Amino acid sequence: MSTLDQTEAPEHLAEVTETAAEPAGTEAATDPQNAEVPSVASLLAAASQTEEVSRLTRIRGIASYVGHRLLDIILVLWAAATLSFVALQLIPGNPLDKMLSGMQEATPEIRAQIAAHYGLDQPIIVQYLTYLGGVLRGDFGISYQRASPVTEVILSEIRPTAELTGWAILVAIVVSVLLALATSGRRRGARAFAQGFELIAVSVPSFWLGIILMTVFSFTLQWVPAFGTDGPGSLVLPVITLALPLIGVITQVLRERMEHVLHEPFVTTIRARGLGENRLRSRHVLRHASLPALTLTSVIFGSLLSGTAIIETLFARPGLGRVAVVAIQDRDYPVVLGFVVFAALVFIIINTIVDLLYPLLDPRLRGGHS
Amino acid sequence: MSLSLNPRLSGGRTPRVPRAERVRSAHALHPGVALSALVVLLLIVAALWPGLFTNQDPIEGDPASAFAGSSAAHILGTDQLGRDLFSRIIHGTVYSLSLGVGASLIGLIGGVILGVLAGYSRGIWDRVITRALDVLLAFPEVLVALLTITILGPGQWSLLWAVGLGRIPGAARLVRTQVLQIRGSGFIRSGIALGLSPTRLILKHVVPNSLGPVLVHAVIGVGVCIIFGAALSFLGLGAVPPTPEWGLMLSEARQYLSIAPWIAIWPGVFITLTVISVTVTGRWLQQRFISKRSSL
Repeated sequence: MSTLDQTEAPEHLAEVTETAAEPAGTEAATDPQNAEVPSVASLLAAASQTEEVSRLTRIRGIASYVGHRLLDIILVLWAAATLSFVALQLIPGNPLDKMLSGMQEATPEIRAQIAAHYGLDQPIIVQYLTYLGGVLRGDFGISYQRASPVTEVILSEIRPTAELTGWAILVAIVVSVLLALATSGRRRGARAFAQGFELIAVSVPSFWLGIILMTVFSFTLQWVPAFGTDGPGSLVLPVITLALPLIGVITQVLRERMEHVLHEPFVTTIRARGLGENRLRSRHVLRHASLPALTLTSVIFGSLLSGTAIIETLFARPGLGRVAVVAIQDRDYPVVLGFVVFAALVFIIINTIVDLLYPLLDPRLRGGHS
Repeated sequence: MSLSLNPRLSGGRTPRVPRAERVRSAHALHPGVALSALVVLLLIVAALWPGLFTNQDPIEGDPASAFAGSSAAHILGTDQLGRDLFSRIIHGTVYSLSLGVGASLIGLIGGVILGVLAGYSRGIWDRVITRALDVLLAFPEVLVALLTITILGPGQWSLLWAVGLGRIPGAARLVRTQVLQIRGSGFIRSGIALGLSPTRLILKHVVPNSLGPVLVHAVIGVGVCIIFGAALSFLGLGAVPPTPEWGLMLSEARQYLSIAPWIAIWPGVFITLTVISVTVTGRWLQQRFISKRSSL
């Protein structure tokens, strides 16, 4: 225990000066919550009591980190909701006309009644605040087409989409890791193969790939069903279609990073100790290379989001992507906007989780959160 | 849907390659690259003068000869309305290429304007724009596209904006980083000392010197935009029939998969070929560009 403390001490000292030097001057003065936190001078003076100070800074670091993340989430959600609201206002035409397009005779009384029901008779700022308040409570209004709350529509469609994307991500990660392990830094042939595969995987449009797979495996060979959601067999083709572009992206980054890491001095050290090539790659090199791959989250999420819309349409599966596409075609605006805000929320939650994963993978990132 | 073609993702440092190999790979024209460049050239010619490749009408067909297989009269066969598939694909080139280039340009121009504004202005404006960009970057491109199409309604023009707008935040961030570096360099400070006006400094000195990475982003983005645009058309959110747009053609061909799969196969082959060629050519240009830069 004591030896551990001694080795850690210099690091904490550096951390103290680092975190203290940057925000303390401005923050301590403006932020009442930080009033109890000691000033720079007293922190440095107390540096001999390393343990106590380090705990203090660490707690403070975590607190400010969590605060920043929360602020980020709120900002993105607010932006998504506001953009959606602005979009709703920018759409040409009166939403009332769209809602009443099915009714033959809409008397002014009925119009006024419906306007009042949806709050459309209020001034725009009131509508905006009502909308924001609704978003906060998870209420995105009522679908024009389905006459049920948007939240209900979205929640009822989550399961098939989650199933599809979950499997696709799992398949993509497993295959990418295996491919990267097998091909990085190997002979020219293997590398050329890997590069060619990655290029094709990201260049083939997924809707076309799905059609080809369907033609071959469903219509010609009749191995798996082409449409619908009965049984695990119906998941095979959609999952492959959704996973392939992801495999291309992830393998590319993993392989490039692994090739880079294989030149690092620590690899030579590990080899000198006599560790086998496979263990070296899977235990040490892969761990280093997986960090930059984590930054792909946004790319992967975007790819999944557009991918599900395409694949659910192509394979006639229920799900969120399908709902969004149909809603745009039907001009069911509350559903579209609810989907946008919902997707933004899921995205930022995933991003936050991934950010929290970094320190787990890379011990160098533990501690200082600045 | 900016797939990997994005140079930002491949990480900071490049793997250590022996100098001899590096020089060779930067200057020699690999056969694959030459082939890709040739394909790109042919596609551009096909987009500008489709009449050079085919004299068949892409819109009007002969219903009697629907679902015909490959023959001398119709190289790739005909579709459900008896239209010549090859002619439709050739006439569709212009939509895919102009969408890819146009959307990339929107991203480039918007990105340069916002990036220079964020990087060159100090203090509150930099912080406001950067923060806004961060929020927008946290907004998947698909959602930007869906919102744009919701507002503008489906069609070729709204498709262009739908794909292009989503590329602005990424481009802007690249430009901003460059501008931040250049702003602090000696020749800009000399320019300020010499009394050059900010407009002149920005337009003649800051912008040209900060274009490198964002140009690469734009060139490689052409492939990404083509796929994305075709995907949106496939979903019925882009081009409208009877436009011979490749994504839309695929979407229409879906119903006839079991009797005439080639109607769906060929447009996909052309999308894939186009994207691969554009990407390979773009990467080669990027290598040349970067090696040229570093040798300066």
